[in-house]
Amino acid sequence: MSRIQYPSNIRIVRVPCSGRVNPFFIIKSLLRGWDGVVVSGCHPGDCHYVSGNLVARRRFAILQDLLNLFGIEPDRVTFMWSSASEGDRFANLIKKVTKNIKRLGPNKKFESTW
Amino acid sequence: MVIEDQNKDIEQLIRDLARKLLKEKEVDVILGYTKGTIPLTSLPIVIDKVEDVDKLIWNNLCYINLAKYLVPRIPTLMNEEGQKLKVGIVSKGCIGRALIHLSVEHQIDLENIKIIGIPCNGIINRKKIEDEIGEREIFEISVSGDNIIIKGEDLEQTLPFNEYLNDLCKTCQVKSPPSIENICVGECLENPVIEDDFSDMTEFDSKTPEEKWEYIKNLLDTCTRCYACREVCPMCYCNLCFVDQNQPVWFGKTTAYSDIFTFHLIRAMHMAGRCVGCGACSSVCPMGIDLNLINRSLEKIAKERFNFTSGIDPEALPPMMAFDMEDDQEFMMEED
Ligand code: SF4
Ligand code: SF4
Ligand code: FES
Repeated sequence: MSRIQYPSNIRIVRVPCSGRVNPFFIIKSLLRGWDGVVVSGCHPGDCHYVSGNLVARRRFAILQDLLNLFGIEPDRVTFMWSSASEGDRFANLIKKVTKNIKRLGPNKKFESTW
Repeated sequence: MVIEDQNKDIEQLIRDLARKLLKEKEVDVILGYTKGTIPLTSLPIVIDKVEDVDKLIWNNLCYINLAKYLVPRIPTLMNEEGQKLKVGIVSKGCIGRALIHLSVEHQIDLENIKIIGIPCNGIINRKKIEDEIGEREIFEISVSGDNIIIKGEDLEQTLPFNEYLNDLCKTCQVKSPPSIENICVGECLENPVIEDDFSDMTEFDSKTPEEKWEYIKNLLDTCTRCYACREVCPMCYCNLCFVDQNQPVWFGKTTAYSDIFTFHLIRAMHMAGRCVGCGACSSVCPMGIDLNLINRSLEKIAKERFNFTSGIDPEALPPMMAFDMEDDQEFMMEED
């Protein structure tokens, strides 16, 4: 965004709206061995589909609480708002995420023993 | 009053109301409990004749949530002409709550049922009994006074009733179904309020992520993924459950812990703001896993985040059916 550099160790998966993000996408990525997942959406009130992000926010709140209950480190999964014009913000948040995840180390809990 | 007498009174209440409803043709069938074929169980039964009413029972092993038999996934109770039957359903508090929640989710039509409200006096925890008795075979279990009497080969044991109750029954505040006009008969509660401080969760909540991980791992490790907990849950009515989907396969079918806890995590996700805390899932688990901790925290999340309690108010929208611009978002990441 705005040609601002952000860490290269993330892979972007494009979805139409944060409301499209099924919690399964997040869990599945962790099961596949990704060390962390970030979901980024438009700020509340700015959703192209009007309320997709408001629905998603409830879903994420519950998912975050449950990950917490099951003892998954809270920083493995991150939710954030950043609009298309906020390249700086996006880059800063992604830097923060990569820092957090490096601190946590590899994702071992989702590793299959088989 | 001692438990034994309460049970007799409740049973009498069920039979009297069932007889009356059938005689006056207010309902076509009664859905209730009957004696199980092995000790420590009870069975659901459908009664369509006044003569059979005495088959209906009440004891402290009526752990199935009968609301399950009215959800769309279960074959509908119909007459020979294919018309839906009007059902009278024996309801302890959590069955009433399940019925209300199912109606909020447009899965059942309350107009078509009669809720036979009873004042539940608690369900015995089979796991606790089995832990106590060990491998020895139980022939008979009964309640006498305030004690549970267990008989088996070389075995006669008396256990205090209160200690062997389900934990969730000890804190339950809706022992009779919430009252709905023209739908409820028997003993129902007018506008029940649940005052819950979730103090039972404080200890767990104060654990570190690592401690929580270990605790939950210990709890769920023996899960064989038989899905009995799903089958028995009144809120699990999807035609195609995520665990059965294979296009795509969301998670592995093994008993590796990563798969087990993914199942339980997503099950919990789907239950948030919906679980009515009936404890049926824990009662049927062949591995004796107590899912109460997870279910309690679902109630806590629904209450603390969205000020919602499932199955109390037929007009209130569950959190996952609504959204609000003002919802808390303290968990969203912000720049430093
Ligand atoms: S009933 Fe018990 S063993 Fe079966 S899937 Fe549920 S928790 Fe696992
Ligand atoms: S999850 Fe368990 S306690 Fe909750 S409604 Fe379903 S069967 Fe009852
Ligand atoms: S379009 Fe819905 S969150 Fe961006």
